[in-house]
Amino acid sequence: MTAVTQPPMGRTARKPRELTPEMKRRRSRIAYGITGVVAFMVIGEFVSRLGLVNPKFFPPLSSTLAETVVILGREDFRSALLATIGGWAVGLAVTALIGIPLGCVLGLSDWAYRFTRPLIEVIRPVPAVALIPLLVVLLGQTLQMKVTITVWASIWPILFNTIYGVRSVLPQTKEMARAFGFSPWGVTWRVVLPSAGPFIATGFRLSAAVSLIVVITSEMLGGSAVGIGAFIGQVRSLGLQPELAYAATVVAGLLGVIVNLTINALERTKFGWQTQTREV
Amino acid sequence: MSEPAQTSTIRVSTETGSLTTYTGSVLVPSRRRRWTRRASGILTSFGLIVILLMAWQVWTMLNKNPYFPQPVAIVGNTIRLLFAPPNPNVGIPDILTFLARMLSGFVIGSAVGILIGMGIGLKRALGDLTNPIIEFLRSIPATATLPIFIILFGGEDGMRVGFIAFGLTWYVIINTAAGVSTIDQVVLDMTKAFRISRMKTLFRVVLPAASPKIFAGLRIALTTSMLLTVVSEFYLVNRGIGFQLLQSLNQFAFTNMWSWMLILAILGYLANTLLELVEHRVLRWDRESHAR
Repeated sequence: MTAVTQPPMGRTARKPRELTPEMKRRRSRIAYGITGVVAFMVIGEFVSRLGLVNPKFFPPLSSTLAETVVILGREDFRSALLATIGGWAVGLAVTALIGIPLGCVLGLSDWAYRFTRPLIEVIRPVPAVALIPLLVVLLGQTLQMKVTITVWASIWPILFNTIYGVRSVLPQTKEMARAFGFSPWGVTWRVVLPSAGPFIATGFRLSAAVSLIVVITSEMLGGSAVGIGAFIGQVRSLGLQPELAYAATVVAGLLGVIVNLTINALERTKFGWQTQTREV
Repeated sequence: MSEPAQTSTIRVSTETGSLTTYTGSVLVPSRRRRWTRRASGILTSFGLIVILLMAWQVWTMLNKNPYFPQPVAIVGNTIRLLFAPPNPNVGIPDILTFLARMLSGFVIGSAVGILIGMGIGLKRALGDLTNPIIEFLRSIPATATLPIFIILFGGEDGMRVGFIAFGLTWYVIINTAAGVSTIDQVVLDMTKAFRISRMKTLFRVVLPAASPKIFAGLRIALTTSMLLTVVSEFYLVNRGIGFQLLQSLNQFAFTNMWSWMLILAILGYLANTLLELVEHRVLRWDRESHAR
């Protein structure tokens, strides 16, 4: 039964025989990738060791990586990391809770869209970082401040992707659901939202990246901040330990990679199309 | 939504011409009603802004709050900042400095991004080789690299431009590579068969074919360049919009701060519009080929 309903193009539906060239391709990709990383590390190590750049400003990669491990063991750095992740996660959740319903309303109701569009066009170009100084004064270095700045900065991708996704639902589909006796609410919940799902997920992924940037930026300003941004900022102002700054940046990068990978994986498992057709 | 399901798809599509503006309403009003509707539409849309601004004005007039000055005061202060500066060091020079930094960063980052993206998109091995590194580097939240740029290059404008270019180039690289890799291999083979030179192939075939995607990347890059420029001006500067923002914060001059935010919004709007115009012109062939 399941084998019949799965479309032939799906990720899981490939026959074992077709896998061979695919696997070969994948193997060569991994081999090349590892080669690239190794080459990058060798360059990063020896550019500094051979004195092509001043090791004082650009420490060898090995010492940066060693320092990364060291700061991950430090209590203050870990609490900074947690503060950043916490602010980011709560901010992103609030963004999604506002952005997705709002996007549905604006996508479904032409009137609401026309009513709010000019306002959105006025608000959107204000760069979120311009708000950071004001918010830091108003709210202090609090979770509230991080959430506010996150919502302001990262609601746009999620909002516009939701609007776009909701609009791309074929009207016939909605009409059919109506004909089968769904309430308008039911149509939205069971038909419109699932088919807009992939768009929403894309918006969410973009929003996640933006919000991480603004959370870290907001922590770099203001003295009382706790978080990776604050940590990096302090290291910079103390000046003398470039390894620390590099290590903190590596951790920030790792955080970004983890965020990307998690959301990509969620996207892949959530929005295989066959699961949705089964639900309805 | 509350209307009954008497929707007629055909009528809706004749009225609006496209799915994207599908409303779900049945009515195709007479020409006269359509005009009144359009007028009321304009009223409703700008009405919201006007209402909110008026509410803000009235509210701030009733409750004096240093953080939220009156909109009228903000606009007045902005005009004064721009056109009647009390001393020549405020206003226009900051904006020009800001724009110079932002545009240099944007242009350099985009050019580098397009070049790298083309290389990666054309040569699969190169793409495979660099993929993990690019994935990691682009995952670093851009503003977190600022201290490193300061360590490496000091407090000069070269550091700022490098920081901005570095932060935004990933969007361009990834979009260019995606655009380039969609080009049909047959087309590339054909350029070889006709002995069209490499350079000519790159600039006349590959680049145009990838340009819709490239512009998608450039649009994100432009927004990002503005953000990064502001952040880069938070440190080690004496001029620029980011500097003025922090300066007004330190002096508790909140009207000034709001003015600079307003100026940033206007600049952002102008920059986006300009890029859209360029895109509209450059990508005309693409739209026409879709229309056919």
